[in-house]
Amino acid sequence: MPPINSNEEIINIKNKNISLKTRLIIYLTLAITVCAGISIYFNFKILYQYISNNEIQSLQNLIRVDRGKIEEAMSEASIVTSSLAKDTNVINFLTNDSEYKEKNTPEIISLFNSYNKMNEYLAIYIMDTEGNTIISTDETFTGINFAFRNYFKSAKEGNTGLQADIGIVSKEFGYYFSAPIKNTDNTLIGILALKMNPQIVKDVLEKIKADSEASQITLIDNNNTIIYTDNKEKLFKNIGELNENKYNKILETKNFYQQLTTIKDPDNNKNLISISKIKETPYFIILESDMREVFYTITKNILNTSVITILASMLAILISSITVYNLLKPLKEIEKFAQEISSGNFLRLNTNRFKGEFKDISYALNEMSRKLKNMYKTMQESIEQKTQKIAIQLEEKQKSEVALMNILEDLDTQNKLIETRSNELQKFKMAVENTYDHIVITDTEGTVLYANGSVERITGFKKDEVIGTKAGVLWGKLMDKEFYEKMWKTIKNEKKTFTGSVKNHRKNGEVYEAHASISPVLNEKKEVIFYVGIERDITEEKNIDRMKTEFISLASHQLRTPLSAIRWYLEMLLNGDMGKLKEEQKTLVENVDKSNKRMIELVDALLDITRLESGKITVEPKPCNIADLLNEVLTDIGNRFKEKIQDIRVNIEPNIPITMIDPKLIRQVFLNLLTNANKYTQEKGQIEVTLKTGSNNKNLIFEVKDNGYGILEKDRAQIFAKFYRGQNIVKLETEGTGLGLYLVKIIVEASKGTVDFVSKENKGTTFTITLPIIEIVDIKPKDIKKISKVVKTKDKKTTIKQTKPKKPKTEEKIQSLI
Amino acid sequence: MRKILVAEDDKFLLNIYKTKLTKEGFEVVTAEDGEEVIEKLNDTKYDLLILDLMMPKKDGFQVLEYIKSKKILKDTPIIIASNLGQKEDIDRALALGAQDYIIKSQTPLSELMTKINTYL
Repeated sequence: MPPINSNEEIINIKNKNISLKTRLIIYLTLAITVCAGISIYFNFKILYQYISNNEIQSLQNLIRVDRGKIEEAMSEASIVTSSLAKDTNVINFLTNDSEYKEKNTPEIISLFNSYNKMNEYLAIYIMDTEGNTIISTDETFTGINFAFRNYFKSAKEGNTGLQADIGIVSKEFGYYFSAPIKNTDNTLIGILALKMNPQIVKDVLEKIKADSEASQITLIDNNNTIIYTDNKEKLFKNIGELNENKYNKILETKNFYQQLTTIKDPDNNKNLISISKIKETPYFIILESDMREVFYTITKNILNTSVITILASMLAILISSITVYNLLKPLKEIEKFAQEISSGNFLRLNTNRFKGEFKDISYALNEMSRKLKNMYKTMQESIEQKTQKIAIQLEEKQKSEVALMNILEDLDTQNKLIETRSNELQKFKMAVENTYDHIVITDTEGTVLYANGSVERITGFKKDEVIGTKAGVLWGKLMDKEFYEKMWKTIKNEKKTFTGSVKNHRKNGEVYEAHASISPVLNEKKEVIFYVGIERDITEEKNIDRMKTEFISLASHQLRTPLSAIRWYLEMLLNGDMGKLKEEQKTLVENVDKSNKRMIELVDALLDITRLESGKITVEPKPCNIADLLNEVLTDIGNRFKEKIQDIRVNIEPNIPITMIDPKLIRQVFLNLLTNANKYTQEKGQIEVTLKTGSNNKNLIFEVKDNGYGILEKDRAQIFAKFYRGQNIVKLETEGTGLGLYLVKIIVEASKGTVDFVSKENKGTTFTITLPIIEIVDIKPKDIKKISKVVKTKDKKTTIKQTKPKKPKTEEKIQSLI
Repeated sequence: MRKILVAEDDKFLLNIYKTKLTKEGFEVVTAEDGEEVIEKLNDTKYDLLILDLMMPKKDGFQVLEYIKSKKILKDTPIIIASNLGQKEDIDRALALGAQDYIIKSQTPLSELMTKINTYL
């Protein structure tokens, strides 16, 4: 149980719990406030928009109606001016002389006054083409020149004119209308002018201002000159000069909207500016209305509704806070419960006090509490155990650390040694890799772990192909089962090196011969850890050997043919086929015959050896009484022992079983061993010959014991080698080929027997031959048939030989040659 | 008169066969190579065939194979007289239908005569 951690957690939970409640309330309050704010804002916006639109609409309606009055008055003034300018009386008045003018002046004045019943016009007057007033309803005008006035200039050019200005005589403001007076030939004869009372316009504008509650009303002409304003100082000034920013905006709008438009005051958003053109005139009404009042009204209304909204929001906040508090109340209890549990007090909650999801949670918590209680118990126990263990481990660890330090020190010194050794190993590896012999290392099951470069050269299989396979699977399997069994027995059971000649095949199928040696590599416990196999490809050597053998064989055969011809000629001679021979001739021919036969035997022996050497030994086993065979040989060479006055003792066990052997070959064995004993034992020496069955009745044992010269110790290892002769023997006798024991060994081993010897220098030698007893039952009937046919021939031959007493001598001589 | 065909490439041996067998009262026909043997066997019927194994053109084994495949000389005994003396040679010749086998250098002429008389 980690108490520190759980306390921290409790604190965290507590903090979170408090803030959760507060935050929930804050969030709700914020949400409600924001909603209320948004609602108020949009209320205001919409209301403002609505009211200001309404305001603009009513303002414009007002302007539109009142503007009409000005238009009406101006239009009338314009019409009056034009009509009077075309009046014939006026034209006549101008075209006649001054007398006429004087006479008709009152008439013209009354004509003019007839148009001015309402006293709308301050003056109606006529000017000559020079601008001098000729006649006027206002006498103050008469005689004054108005040629500098714009309305005169425009009328003189043939157009109507309109100008708002202050009179130079009356100093009163008025609207001057003008029109050209032309006679019938359309020449300008004078100008008619009319000064309209500005009061009409002033009344209308003041009415508009009053009705619209506008702050300011201004009238400007198309040159932007103020021609009417409340403020006299601004009169006749260019509006652009007064407030550039505001009036630029007005001027833009004025030029663009020819009729009526309302814009916002760029200086004060709450103010509206309405610009309206007076038709048929170059004048514009500019009405600036103060909207503060409107805005104030709106705000007041909005505030009223906002108070309600805020109150409702506050109520909502209160309700939600209470709800949140109530909802989160059980958490407090759960928190307490958790604290209790954390301090190791595994309580149970009263589930009845909870509702809804909290009820489920309370059940789960009770279950948790129960489980924790159990866990806590078991945990405490295991912690105690583990603590003890850890203490022990810690102690061990400290010990091992000390040991490790020692090892590291040792390692340091060893590393240097290893480095030197690895260099040596590298050299060794290179040597193995590049050696001419095929070297393979396998595990105990024979799976190849390593193969050197020569493996590929000899077998043709690549290293990758070889490694991982069973040794020899790729190239072997050509030898018989017994070979491999013997090999495994040697290396696995006896744990000795196996050597032998083996026929394998290369990857391309070519058969090759190799001298193989397989050695087990043992560890300290004498267990095999791996095998090392070395093979040397001796195919070429073997081929040369084979060719040599074949040559000898063929040569021997070729020798036989003339010898057999001689033999048969001599036989015919002796037989008297060519006439009966004289006794002397007969003896001579007989001698030739003997020599010839010896030659034949010699050639036969030579053939046998070559065949034996080439491995083509033909063991032709047949049922044979081996005791008889021995006796025959002894009889044949008996004279030799007599000649050297040697004491020969023969012990032949009675009832030696008949066994399957090749009598011709075994006879050779007996002959060779007995002649050796005879040759290499001094005169008057002792020779003992024994033939018996082995203790288990499965073997035949043949022993030849002499007390002769013996075999020198240094010669013993090679005594069976071809052409090898003991060094003590060579000194005594120059004859002998060194083939005798070699033949014995080959024949005995081919007959599945063994040959062994015990010798002591100058004390004598004992040769022991063991041959297996093979029962006759083993031969198949077919084999017997074939053998018997050949045997028939040879038996007869043997019979003939036996009938001839001199035959043994021949054999003796052959043996001495061998 | 019994007719014997002797196949032998060695002139001296052939001379011996001729002399001895004629003396013994047989009619002797000789052949000096394998092809000649086959030729002569196809010409006439013989009572016995003495066949050497090592001969030019076709060796004795080939002759035996021919005889075996053509199924001629059904009742004519064949004696192999050769200087090949290995077991496999003997077995092979006997398997190819030869009745007997002698190794010339190891067999007295008298023995061969006895054999011939036995088969005839």
